[in-house]
Amino acid sequence: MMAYFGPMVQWVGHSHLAIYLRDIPWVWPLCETIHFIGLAMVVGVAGFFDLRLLGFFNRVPISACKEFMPWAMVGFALNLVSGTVFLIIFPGQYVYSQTWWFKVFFLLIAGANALVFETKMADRMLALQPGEASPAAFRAIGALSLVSWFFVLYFGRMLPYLGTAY
Amino acid sequence: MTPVLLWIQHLPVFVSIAEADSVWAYPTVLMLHTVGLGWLVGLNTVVNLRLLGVGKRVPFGSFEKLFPMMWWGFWLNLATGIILFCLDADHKAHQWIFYAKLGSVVLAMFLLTAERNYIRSDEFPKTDPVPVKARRYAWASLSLWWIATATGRLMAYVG
Repeated sequence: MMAYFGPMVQWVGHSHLAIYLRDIPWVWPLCETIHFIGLAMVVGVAGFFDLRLLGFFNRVPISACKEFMPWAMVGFALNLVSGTVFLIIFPGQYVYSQTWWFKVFFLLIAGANALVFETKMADRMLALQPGEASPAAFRAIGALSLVSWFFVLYFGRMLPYLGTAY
Repeated sequence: MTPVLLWIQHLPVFVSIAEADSVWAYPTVLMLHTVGLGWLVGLNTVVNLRLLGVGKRVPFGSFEKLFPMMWWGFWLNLATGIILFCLDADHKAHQWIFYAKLGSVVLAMFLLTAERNYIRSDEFPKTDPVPVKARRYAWASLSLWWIATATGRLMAYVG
């Protein structure tokens, strides 16, 4: 299945942009740095919201905790940009790595999970009274979010060690 | 200094971790160090953002539970950090950027404690707008964590 991406990997890897970025020695370390700063913003801000869904500090309205979430999106945007630079510079390292696809899979799970909360549970969130126990559905969303972000980080950090070596 | 560092690095326990061809050895220690970083720095970022005016409906008292959780991240990273250092002691001890990282982490942890004590204190109004002092705490904390994260990550490339 991964071989299917061969022509695309060739094209991206040999593009002027890839060659240009590969030749600047500080681009890769800079993007690694940004990727880790963004990682902390996503894990911390989304993690804080997930803790609330799990029932921590339940006197605080969930909608109030949600006001931090744009900053998780800022972290995510930083990582999307820096991650895309990695992908442009060495596309084969990622596209041919099963570990990277696991990371993408858990990113999609985290995204779909957030989308379900956003589209199906907004009314229930606003109706919830301060101090009221977090509904099972909310706790499930919070737990799945924590678990999927953990695996995004796990497979991301394990990229050099699991499966394809580079 | 080098003989001591090499002695640490050559202790059987660290040699076995460094040379083990298992994802449960060095890669897992490194991965856990990243988990601790995300948890500690990320949760501290939430408090800093609150001090800077984000999420004004979240009362400062609700962060009481958050600070001990940040310490879990710290202890995890102290433990994994000691292991990572011992695996490569002679190299890391000679990297200037390693000391920049250590220094910024120590300062950031002092600031985390000072920030928590300040938020708890009677001096802190607990309502918005927060005093300038609180905003300074927040910016200093964010800056130190960015420096700590950057210098930590760049240990793989610099010095």
